[in-house]
Amino acid sequence: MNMRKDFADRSELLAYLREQFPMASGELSPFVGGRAAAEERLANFNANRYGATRNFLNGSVSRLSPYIRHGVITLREVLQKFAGRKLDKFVQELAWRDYWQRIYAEIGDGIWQDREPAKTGVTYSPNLPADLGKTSLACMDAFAAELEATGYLHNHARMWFSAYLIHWRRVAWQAGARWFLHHLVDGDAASNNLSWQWVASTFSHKPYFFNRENLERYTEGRYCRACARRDDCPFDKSYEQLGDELFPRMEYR
Amino acid sequence: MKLIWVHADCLHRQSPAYEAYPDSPSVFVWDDAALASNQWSMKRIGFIYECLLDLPVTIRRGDPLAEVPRYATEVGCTEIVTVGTPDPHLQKQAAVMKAEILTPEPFVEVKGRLDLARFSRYWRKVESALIESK
Repeated sequence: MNMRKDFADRSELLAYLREQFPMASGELSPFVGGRAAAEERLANFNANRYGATRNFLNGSVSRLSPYIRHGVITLREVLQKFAGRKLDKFVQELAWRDYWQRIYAEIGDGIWQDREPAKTGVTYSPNLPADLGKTSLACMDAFAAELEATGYLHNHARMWFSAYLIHWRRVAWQAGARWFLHHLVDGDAASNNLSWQWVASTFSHKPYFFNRENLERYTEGRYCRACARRDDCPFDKSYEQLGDELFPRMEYR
Repeated sequence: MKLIWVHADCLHRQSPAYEAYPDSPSVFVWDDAALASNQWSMKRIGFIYECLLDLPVTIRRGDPLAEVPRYATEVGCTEIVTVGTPDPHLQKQAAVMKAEILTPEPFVEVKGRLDLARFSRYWRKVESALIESK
């Protein structure tokens, strides 16, 4: 039997999808699917500010990833839109997607295995922590809530969150990656898993981690200001101190 | 006539399959077993569904290996065509269906072998092509 294609609006679509897919949790994403929405995002993207502001949560990023992920718009189309303009950083980010897809084509299901041994000397738990989203760390709880509510996180928030889960909570990257894929509207085993592996150090020479100064700067303090743990912050240390604490047995230390 | 099997990696009206077979019918099948195992939230399902509403595609659910050939029979198609993807699950299904695979134009043309061990090595090889194409 054919599924329906005529809907008056999103709430009618949601009601139908709930009936058809009762096991799928939550609401629709604020990202609307389809070509028109992709073109609108492309038209509204201020690429000139991308290079200088992209690491800030409120920076100028394209948010095209869900559309690129599902082939609604191709990397080539996006590249061509900016032809003749000097936007090397943005072009490089498009290239990252291509790079990950090429690896996926080579390794297939191997995308779930460590590309290389971890450099951290740490043993990881296969399960997500029970307090996921309820840690009382304002930043991490906000990222978890935003992911579950919208299906999207800024790339820098993904990096902080994955580093927190892997390095502070010692959770295997696969558990976090799988949870991200439940929710991300741009969820793709290649970009997602290989980014988690980059943070974990199974696809890089060293683990990625951050400190409070870095997070506070690029979030412009929006979480730290009202955080219940602002005076008891596990990130409020120098990189050297954190490295010693998080990776006491790291091989190259 | 060929039936176009649309999957979630290529929801584009100008996909290589729609371009090569503009008069062919097309079908998308929600893969119940894959959905049960992936546990995709409503956000993901809704987003893909909205993308499908843009396409001249019939939407079904079940096992793609059963539903795609069944739909092909219904609309009088004897062969199946789809777009290439790195997803191993979709690749296997395409192989079982004996589908013709059309590959999208690559993002960047590369001569010779690409070293994918690190992005920096890949980037050194593709950078000039991407800058030239700008």
